[in-house]
Amino acid sequence: MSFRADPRSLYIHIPFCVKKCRYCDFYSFFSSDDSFIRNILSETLNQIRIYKAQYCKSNFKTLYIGGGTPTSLKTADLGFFIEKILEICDSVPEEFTIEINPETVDNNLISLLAELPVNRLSIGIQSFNSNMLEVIGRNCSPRANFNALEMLKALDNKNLSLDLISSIPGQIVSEAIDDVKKALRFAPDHISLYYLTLEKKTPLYDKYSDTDQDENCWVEAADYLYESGYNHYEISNFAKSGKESLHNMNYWRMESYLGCGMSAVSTVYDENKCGSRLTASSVPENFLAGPDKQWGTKVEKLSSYDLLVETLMMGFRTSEGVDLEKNNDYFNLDIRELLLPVIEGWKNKGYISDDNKNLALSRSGRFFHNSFMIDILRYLEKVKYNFT
Amino acid sequence: MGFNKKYQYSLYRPGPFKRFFLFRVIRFLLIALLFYEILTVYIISTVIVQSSSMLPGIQREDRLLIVKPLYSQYLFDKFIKIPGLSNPKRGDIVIYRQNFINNYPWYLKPVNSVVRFFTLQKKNLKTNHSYNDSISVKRIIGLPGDIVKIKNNVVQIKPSGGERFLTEFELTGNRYNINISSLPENWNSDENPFNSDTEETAVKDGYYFIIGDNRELFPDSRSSGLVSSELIKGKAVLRYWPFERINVF
Ligand code: SF4
Repeated sequence: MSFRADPRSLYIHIPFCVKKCRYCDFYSFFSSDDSFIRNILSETLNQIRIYKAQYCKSNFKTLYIGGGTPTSLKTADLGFFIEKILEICDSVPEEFTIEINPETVDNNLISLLAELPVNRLSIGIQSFNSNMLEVIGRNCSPRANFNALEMLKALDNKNLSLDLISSIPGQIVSEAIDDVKKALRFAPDHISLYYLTLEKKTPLYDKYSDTDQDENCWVEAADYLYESGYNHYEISNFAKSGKESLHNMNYWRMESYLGCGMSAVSTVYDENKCGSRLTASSVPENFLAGPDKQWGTKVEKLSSYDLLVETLMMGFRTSEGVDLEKNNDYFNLDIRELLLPVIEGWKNKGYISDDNKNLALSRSGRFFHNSFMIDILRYLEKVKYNFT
Repeated sequence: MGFNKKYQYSLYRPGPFKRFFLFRVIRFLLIALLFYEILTVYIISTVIVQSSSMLPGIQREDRLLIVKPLYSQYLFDKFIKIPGLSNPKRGDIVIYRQNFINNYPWYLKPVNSVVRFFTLQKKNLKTNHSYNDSISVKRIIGLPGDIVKIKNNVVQIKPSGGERFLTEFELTGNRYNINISSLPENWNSDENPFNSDTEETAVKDGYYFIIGDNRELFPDSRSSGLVSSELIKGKAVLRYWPFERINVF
């Protein structure tokens, strides 16, 4: 199958949360209306069924149930929902991830996970420090975090991934490192360490936009993870070797993927190397209007140029970098030659790693990903890079 | 040249005693492994229950003794079928593999046996993307030839050759309790798209209708269909742990 032609990854969005966290700008809300929740889920299944038939030529390699908080669903609903997804997919994917919030971990959830073919658990820990959890308005205590991890760790054959947030307003370096040390006690296969971004329109922004965030918290915590033997394989992601997230690698490689559920995004490409980004509606009524109204989907067209820029932007986030062979072939140009005037300068500083196959930022270079991308975009604008 | 070669040869070659000793150790380990395989694959094994799907009768972490030869067993990846001493009966608690569980590739199976042997069955080989060895413990409700239907959480069965539908309790003699109290409200109402009521389902030859006593948890035959006898690995006959709840099923 040629590059980007066939979506091999499916993301499923569960838009429900128990309580809104202060920093959150994801699409999620609270609902206590079981039948409303089930209608949304069943329309999501409908969308998966139709999208799969419409866009896929082969089975999914990765499945990712995220949110929101998928595990905030009633156990019976969640179990039934996952079973139906597997039935539609007609195969068990190589990687099947579900996002878990620690406060939702109980015997029932553990039972479900033990028997379903979910093999990657992404756990939203964020911090083990009660003050920090308080600042970001997380509905969880350090104790609950530990308990959940102990229960999940006992499950056989699941890869654990922990989410941590660093550089929270008021956090000091030793606290950030302490979080990482506590996470490492559970020997997770994968850790995502995010730098807290204060998104406008979130309560956290209103409250703390004047408080300084210490960037060093993130940097030092990242170094600590790296020195503990984790591959720093993407700006915010660390993995034991071989445990990188296949699903996310697909995003960073700008492969096509499907997203189903309210507000979920799909990206698919046509033969002309142009893309379409489809975003399902985040208004329940529009989403529930179903296939006749295309789930209220907004379509954004991506030109080949947009696609190239995104390929570079995403690729340079990872240690693997931009796959030159595949992309040169796909875009019908020589990416290294095109970018030469920009990468020369960065290469001299030792920030570029370039074997013949891939062009990447080195680990130290990735700390400057933003400025690097600005350089690239300015340059591309200047040469008015034109696609033929 | 010739001398050197000979000299090196004798230098690096283990002496006859060492060779003999090594041979004996390897032979012993191989025999032990074979014995262990036969014992656990074919005769008897134990499981630690991973799920609450058999509440109220069986809890997570309970340990059960599983007898294998009661049912047919399939050795070497279904190549050899050894007939069972009897057939699975209605109401039996069985261990089985979910049919979506991928197995290890053939070359890793023996390695996994070794890992299990040396860790007293506590650890399985952890591969990147495997779902293996996830064993479910549930109850056989429908036998080949039966027709099963579920309406409002009441399981009704028309046994093969029977005239009318009877409930699972009428057919098994009230030997167990089920848990439906924690099912979400309206779970089996007609408006619920997630209705786990089951239309009349004919149980095919070589297949069984299996569900957990805790009707709140999935997966089982209500959601993933009938279970092939090849996936059924044995009958649970005894809970031996925790000590105060020992009982024979
Ligand atoms: S749990 Fe996640 S999605 Fe839900 S409010 Fe918190 S950050 Fe947002």
